[in-house]
Amino acid sequence: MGDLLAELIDISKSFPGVKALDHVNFDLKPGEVHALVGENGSGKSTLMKILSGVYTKDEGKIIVNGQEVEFQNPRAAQDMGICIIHQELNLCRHLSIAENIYLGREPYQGLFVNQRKQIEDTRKILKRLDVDLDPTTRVSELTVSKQQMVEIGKAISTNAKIIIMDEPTSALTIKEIDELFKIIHVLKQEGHGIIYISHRLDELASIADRVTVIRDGQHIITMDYKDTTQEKIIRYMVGRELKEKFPRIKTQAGEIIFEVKNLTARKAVKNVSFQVREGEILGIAGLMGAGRTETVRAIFGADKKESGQLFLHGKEIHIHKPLEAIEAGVFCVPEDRKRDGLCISMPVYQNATLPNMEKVTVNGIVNTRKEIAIAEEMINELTIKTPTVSQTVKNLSGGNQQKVVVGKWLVKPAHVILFDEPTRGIDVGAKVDIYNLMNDLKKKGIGVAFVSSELPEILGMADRIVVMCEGRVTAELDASEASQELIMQYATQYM
Amino acid sequence: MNQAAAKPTMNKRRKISRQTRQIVSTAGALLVLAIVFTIANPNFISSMNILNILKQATPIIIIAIGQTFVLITSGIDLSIGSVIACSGIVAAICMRAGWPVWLSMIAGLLFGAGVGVLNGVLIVYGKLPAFIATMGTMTTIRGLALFLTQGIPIGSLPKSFTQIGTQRNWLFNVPNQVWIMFILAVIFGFVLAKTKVGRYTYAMGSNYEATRLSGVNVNQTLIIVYTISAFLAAWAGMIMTANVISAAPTAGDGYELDAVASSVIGGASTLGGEGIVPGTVLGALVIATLRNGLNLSGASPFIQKMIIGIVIIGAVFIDRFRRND
Amino acid sequence: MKKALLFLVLAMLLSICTTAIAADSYTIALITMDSMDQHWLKVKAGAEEAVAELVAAGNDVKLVFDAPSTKVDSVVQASMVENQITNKADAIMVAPMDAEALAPAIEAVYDAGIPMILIDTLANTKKFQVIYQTDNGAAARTAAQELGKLLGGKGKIAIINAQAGSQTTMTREGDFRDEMAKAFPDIEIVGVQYCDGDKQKALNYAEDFMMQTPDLAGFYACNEGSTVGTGNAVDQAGKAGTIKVVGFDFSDEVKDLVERGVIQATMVQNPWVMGNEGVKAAWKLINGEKIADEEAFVVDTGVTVATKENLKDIK
Repeated sequence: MGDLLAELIDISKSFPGVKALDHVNFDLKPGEVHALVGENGSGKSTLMKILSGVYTKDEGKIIVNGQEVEFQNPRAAQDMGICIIHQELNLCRHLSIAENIYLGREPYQGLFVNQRKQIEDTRKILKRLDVDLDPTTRVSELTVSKQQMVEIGKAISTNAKIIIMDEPTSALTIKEIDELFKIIHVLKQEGHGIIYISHRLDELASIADRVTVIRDGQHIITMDYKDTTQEKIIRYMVGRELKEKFPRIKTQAGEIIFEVKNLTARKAVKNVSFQVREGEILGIAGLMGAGRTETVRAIFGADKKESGQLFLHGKEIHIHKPLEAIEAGVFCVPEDRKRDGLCISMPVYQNATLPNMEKVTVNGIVNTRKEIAIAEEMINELTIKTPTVSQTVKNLSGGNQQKVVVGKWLVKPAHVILFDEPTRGIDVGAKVDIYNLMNDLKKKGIGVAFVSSELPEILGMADRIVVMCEGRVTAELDASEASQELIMQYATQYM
Repeated sequence: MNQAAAKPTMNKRRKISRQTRQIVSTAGALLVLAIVFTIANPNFISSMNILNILKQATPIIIIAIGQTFVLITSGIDLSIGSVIACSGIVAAICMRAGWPVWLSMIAGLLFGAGVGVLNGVLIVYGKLPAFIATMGTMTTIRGLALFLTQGIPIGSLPKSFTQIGTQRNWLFNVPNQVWIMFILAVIFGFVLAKTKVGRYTYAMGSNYEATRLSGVNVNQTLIIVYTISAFLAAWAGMIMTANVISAAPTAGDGYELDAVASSVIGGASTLGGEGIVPGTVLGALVIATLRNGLNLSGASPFIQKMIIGIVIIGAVFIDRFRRND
Repeated sequence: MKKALLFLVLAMLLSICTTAIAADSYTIALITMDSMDQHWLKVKAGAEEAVAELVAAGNDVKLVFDAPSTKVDSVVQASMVENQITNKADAIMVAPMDAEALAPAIEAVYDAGIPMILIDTLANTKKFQVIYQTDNGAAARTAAQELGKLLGGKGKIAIINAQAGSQTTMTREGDFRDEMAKAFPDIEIVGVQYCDGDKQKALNYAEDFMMQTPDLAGFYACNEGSTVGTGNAVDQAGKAGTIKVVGFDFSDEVKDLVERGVIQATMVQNPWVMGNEGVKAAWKLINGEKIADEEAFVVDTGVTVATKENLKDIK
C-alpha cells in the first residue's frame, strides 16, 4: 500500500498533574481502517486531539504525507487533510445538506453563492458514498445516522485523506451501522485512511485492519486484526484478565416486587405491562425509538402518563413526578447522564447527596461533613476513581460519572431501580463494575430492570427479557430461550 | 471523555480555592482602587469616606445578593428597580395612613415578596422565560408605583422611619442601613452556602433536568429564589426611601443592571451555576468605590460612565480568560 | 378563551372609534416630558383648570394627557406627538424633551394646520405659535445671585445637575456658571455631577463632593430630584446652614428642607401658569384668534425665589 499517510512518533503530553500521553507511537496507511482502543481515560482522545490540532504536543513528531508538521490549531490540521468526526455531530440543523457540506467554503459566482454548483457537487459526493439523499433536505429532518453521513460527506469534500471517527456507532441502530460500514469500505477503496475509535469491540471484526491499544497514556500494542481476538484486545486494554464480560449470577426468582399494568404515555408508550421480580434482572430490549426510554421515564414520573397502573409489592402506587417515585423507593438511572443525571459543574459529593438531602440536613441546614462521609462511602463501595469527593464531576471519566449517577440512588433504601442504557459510552472495566453492582442489588432483593440497545449485554445479564417495538411489548422471553435472532425478530415485528 | 483530569491532581485545593480565589481577586481589585484613589485624594481613605462608600453601596449590595440567587439558577430578575420604588411607596402610604413604622415596613417588605412570588409563578407555571416574566412585572409594578402616587413623591415620613437609613449607630459610628445590609448579607450568604435551598439553587443552575429527576421540588425552589430577590429589593426600597425621606415612584430605575454588574464582577455567571454572596458584596463595593473615588478625584462625570462600563467588561473578561486556560 | 379575548379587543377598538367619531367636541392634547415629576403634574393641573373653566362656559372641550414613562426617551415622545396628529387633536401642547429630536414632529403639527403651543422648553424650530416657559437662563442667573450673596461672594461650590443632554437643565447650569464668573469671580465651581433626577444618586454625589472638598461652601442643584437629594446629604452630614444650598423647583420635600433651614433658596417656576395659559392660548387659536402678531411668540412665566420667609405664599 505504499507510504504512510500519517505517523505519530513518541508523542507526549502532560496536563497539570497528569501525564496524559507518554511516548506514544501510532501510524496510518492509506486504504486501511486502524482501530484505536482503550478504556476511558487511557489517552486515545488526547492523541486524536493532537493529530487534529486541538491540542499541541509537548514532545514527539507528527509526520503527515512524509512531511513533519506542527499544528497550532484545528484549521492547520484540516489544511493537511485531517478531519475528525465527533461523537456529537457539528451540523447546523436548520441548513440544508449542501449548505452544511460547503459551510464556509461556498462556491461563489460573483457576489452570490452558486447554489446550483453547490447542490450538484453535493449530489456527486452523496453518490460516491452511495447515499440516497436530496442535497436540499434540511439536516434537522435527517436521522442521526444520515446526519453522520453528511459529516462524512463534508470530510471528503475537503479532500481529507485522514478521517478520524470518534465512537461513530454509539447512537446508531444495527441497520444503520451496516450502512456506515458500507461507506467506510467505499472510503477505504478510495485510499482514505480511517482511524476508528470505539468501545464496541465486536464491531471491529467487520471493518478493522489493524488495532492499537492504549492504556494509561502508554502505547501497549499494535497488531493486525486478523492475528488477534476480542478477548486478547480486552486483556491488553484492561491490563488484567477479565474473568467474564458478563458476570451473571444465579439466584432463584421470587415474588413480584413491581408491576406495570397497561401503561400508556404520549405517543411512544402503548399499553405496556411487565413485572419485576425479586432475585432477577429484567432486560428491556428493542431498537432505538421503540419506546423503552419513554416507558422508564413515564414510570419514574419524568414524563406524563396517560393511563396505566403501577403496583409495588402488590399495592398500587401513584407517581406523577419524580419526587413521588423517589418517595416510593422507585429510582431511575437516566439514559443520558450529562443531560439528565448529573450537575456536571458541581463536586462529586454534592451530586451524591442531591436526592438525599433529608439525610444531611437539619432544619434545612446542610451538614457538609455528613455529606462528605456519605460520598466517601459511595466512592469506596463503587470504586469511583476520583482524587477527592470535592472533585468537579466534569473532570471524571464517563465510567466514573456513571457510577456517581448510580451511587446517588444507593444512599437510601430502594425497592426498584430502573437503569436506562447504564453502560453507554463507558469502558469495559467500568461496565463490569456496573454489572456487578446490578448483581448485588439482585442479591439484596431489590428489583432491577435495565434498558439496553446492546443485545450481548441483554443476553448476558438479564434473567428475563421484555422486547419492545413501536411502543408495545412484543415478547417476554426467558434468558434460556432468548437469542439475538429471536429478540431482533420481535424488535422489528411491526416494521 | 475528559481523560486528562481524571488522574490524581491537586483538585481539593483547586475546588476550595475557586471560591476563595474569586474573593481574593475581587478584594485585590478593591485594594488597588483604594490605593490609586488615596494617591489622587488623601480624603478617600478617611473613615468618614469609607462609611460613605459603604452607605452608598448598601442598596446595590442588598439587591445584588438577590440577583446572585437568580443568576445562579441561570435566570434574571429585571423587576428589582420597580420593586424598590413600589415597596417604598407601599410602606410610605401605610405610614401616612397612621400605621406604626414597623407594621408599614412589614407591609412594604411583604409587598416585595409578593411580587417575587408572582415572578416565580409566572416563570414556573406560566412557563415564561425569566427575562420576559420579570420585564413584564418591571413595567407593571412601575406603573402601579405611579398610579398609587399619582406621580407625586410621598414625603413627610416619620422620623423613626428615616432613622433606619441615616442614624449612625453606637457601634463604630456606622449608619443603621449598613448594619441592616450586613445582617442581610450574612443571612442570605448562609442560606446560599449552607442550606438546602442554596444547594438546590446551584443544582438547578448547573443542570435543571438532572435536579428535577433527583426528586428536587424545582418549582418551589425557583419561586423561593425569585421571592428572595424581590424581598431584598423591598429592603433596598425601605432604605432608599428612608435616605431621601421621600418615596418616589421613579426610584431605583435601572438598578437591576447595577445588581447584575455587581454579581458578575463578584464571580456570578449569567449562564448559571456560579456565584457567591461574599463575591457579590465585594463586586458591589468595587462599583461603589469606583464611583466614589472618581468623584473625589474630580473626574468628568462622562468619563466616569465610560470607565465603569469598561471595568465591568474587563472584570468578566479577565475571569473568563482565567477560567478557560 | 381566545375568542373572548378577540371579542374584548374588538369591543375596545369599536368603543374608541365611536367616541372619536361621535365626539363633536374639541380635543386639546398635552404632552409633557414625564408623568411623575411634580412640575409636570402642576402643568397638567393648570391645564385641567383652564379646560374646566371652558367646559363651565358651555364649551365641549377635553384634555388628553400623555407622557413617556421614563425621562430619557425622546423618540417615544415624538411618536406621541405624531399620534395626536393622527388622532386629529384640535390643538397640541408639547414640552419637548430634546430640542432636535422633537423638531420634526412639532413642524408636522404646525404644517398640518393644528395650533402648536410649546410648554417649558424650546425646540429647534420656529414653526409654532407661542411658548410659555420659564426663562431658564434668567432663573439660573437669579440662582447665581442668591447663592453668591449667601456666600458673601467667595468660596467653593459644586453643582448637582439632572440630565446631561437636556436643553433645560444644561441652560440652568451654563447660565449659572456665566453669571457666577461675571458677578462673583471669587467663587470657585469645583465640579458638576449628573444624577438623572434620582434622589439617591444626588445624595451620593453630594456626599462625595463634601468629601472631595472639605471646605465646600455651597451647592447649586438644578431640579427637584437633585435638590431633595442634595439637601438630605447636607442635612445628614450635619452641615445644614454651614453649606448653603440653592435649588430649583418645588415639592413637599423641598418645602420641608427649606423650612428646616437646609435649603436656603429654591427657584420656583410657575408650571401651573404654563399649563393654564397654554390651554387658554390653544382655545383662542382653535377659534381663529391670534396670540400675538408674530409666530413663535415667547412668554416668560417667570420664577419666584422661595425662602424660609416667603414659604407660606408659595403654592
